[in-house]
Amino acid sequence: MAKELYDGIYSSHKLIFVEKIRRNLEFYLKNKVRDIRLLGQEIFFNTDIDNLPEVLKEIRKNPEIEVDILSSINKYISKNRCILLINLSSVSNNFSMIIKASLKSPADDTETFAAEYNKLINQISAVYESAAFYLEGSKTEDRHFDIVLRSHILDGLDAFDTYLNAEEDIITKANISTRISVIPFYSITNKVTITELISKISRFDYNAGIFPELCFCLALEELMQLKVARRVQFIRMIISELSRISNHLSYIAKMATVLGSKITLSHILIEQERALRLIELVTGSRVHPNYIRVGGVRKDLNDEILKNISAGIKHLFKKIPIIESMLLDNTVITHKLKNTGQADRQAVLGCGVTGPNLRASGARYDLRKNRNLLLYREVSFLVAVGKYGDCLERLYIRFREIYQSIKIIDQLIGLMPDEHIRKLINLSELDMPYNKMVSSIECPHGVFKIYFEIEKNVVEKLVVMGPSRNSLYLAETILCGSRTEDIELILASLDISSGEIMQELPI
Amino acid sequence: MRQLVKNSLNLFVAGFGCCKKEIYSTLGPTYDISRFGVNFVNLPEDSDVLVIQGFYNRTGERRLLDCYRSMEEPKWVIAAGKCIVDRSVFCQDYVLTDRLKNEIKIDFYVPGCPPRPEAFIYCILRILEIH
Repeated sequence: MAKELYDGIYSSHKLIFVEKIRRNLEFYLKNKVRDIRLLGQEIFFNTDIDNLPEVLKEIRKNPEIEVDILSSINKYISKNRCILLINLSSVSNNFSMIIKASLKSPADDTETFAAEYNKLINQISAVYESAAFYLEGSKTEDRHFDIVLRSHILDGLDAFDTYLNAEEDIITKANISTRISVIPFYSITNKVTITELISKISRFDYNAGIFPELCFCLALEELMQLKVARRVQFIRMIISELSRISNHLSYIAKMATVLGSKITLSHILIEQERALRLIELVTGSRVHPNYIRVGGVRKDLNDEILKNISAGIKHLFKKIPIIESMLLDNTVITHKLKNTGQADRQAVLGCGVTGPNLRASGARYDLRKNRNLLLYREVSFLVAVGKYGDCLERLYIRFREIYQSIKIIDQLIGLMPDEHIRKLINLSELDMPYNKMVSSIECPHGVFKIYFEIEKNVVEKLVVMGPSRNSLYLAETILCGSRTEDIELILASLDISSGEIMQELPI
Repeated sequence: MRQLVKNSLNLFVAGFGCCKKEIYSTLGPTYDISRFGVNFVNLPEDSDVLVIQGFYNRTGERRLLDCYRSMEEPKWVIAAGKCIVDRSVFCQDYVLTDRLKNEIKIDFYVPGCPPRPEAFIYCILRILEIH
């Protein structure tokens, strides 16, 4: 009965709510927005660049819409015009929207283009403060800095430079420059076939490569209205949770390295290898799985693989409490972690941070629960929520999430439906009209979102909105006031994935 | 000096990318690259072997050249991963080895996307064997 109520009321209520917001937007902004529609569960509309500040003000201040978080600003070049994608979300109302606007100056005239872009960002930052992070150009060149950390100095935090001003040992100002991670990748985002993209998209988050693939395939399935078999959904959930465990273990390994706990590091690396081997057993690859297909998965799981996974997670369940006690029962380590890099709920939400970093500050927001992702409603698990938002809480949340993932996998193996999986679609003969789509998924770092435009079986344009850029902005905020000796610890505790902060170099 | 420490190599891994994850996983007890006398260092001045991997732009190339020039002789260079050995996965027109062929001489190539830890260890063993 409860399940029927949940299925029946929750999903329809959600759609009605988003539809209501869409109508409100149409009513309040009818002359200023066009092409307003629902893409998946997200609201999408176009607006003129002149109207953009007014539209944003209305969205922010109108109590019936109440969108208070700027998640990201992404830009891409199309037909020598720079197009902005402004991603806004409302955690309290649990929905998000994407605003598309095209800049006036041509993209090849770099000076006027940069001036117009920066002017617009300044206007946006009057409404949403966090927009200032997306300013382009030399915010670090003309100033004097006391400490400069080049990208290769810190292992695993190698896609950005950190510029710091300090008085004695207290940091007064922090700037993070991602200039090093602006790389050419137009062969993967422009005119690429679906099959090629599925095999390559995992490079955008190589710490948990299954999630970009899954996000893209879920978007296409929603676009084509494909009904996927229950067994496929279960297999997808198993491999997602294994990836989550592997990513969290590599996070804990990074923290153990920074904290100098060598014995713990050895134990974690053994367990991480165990998780990676389970992933390899299922997908055939440790880092880039290339396993999810539109409407299915590449290979079914047989009983032997399921037995191996079951044995593997049982072993992990025994070992991880030992690692946890080695790390967190040590008072030297907990004293170092406690109250370091503390950020309260409002500050974290203001930066647009999602995922475990947000949950560590006390906000219960998880797409697995909030948005009926895959078939997570059929398994019982808790969303781990912290309270204090410091480094200790962030580390503790990861341990709790590993236990929940193990619990989910254990249930899924027990509930695995026995049905024949058949191929639903042949992508080479796909003849889809021009369409666009947005999709999001809860990856281990936060909400991973992609936007793409598709025609026939070719993806015309792909934009990746990873959650790690928000974590970088949060790092800028919380580094101020921290001690210089804690820089590496704070940056490591935010779990910044280098693949997600990559940006496209304009052609 | 090289004769004294001929069985010990200091590795400096430049760039960012998926290969770095696999290269650093050789540190764990499962592969344990340190039993061959190999250490990972964060300063190019300390290192004997430069590992080039991952994704680069012009700033990255400049920093890579700085790192290479600040290393002392004798030094070796390993190109790891498809993005360096062949064309970049993200951009078919970008070939790093062609762009830097006059500045950096690459000694070993480790193919794979990303190369397995075993492949990387094999490459290190070849360096220790030859020199």
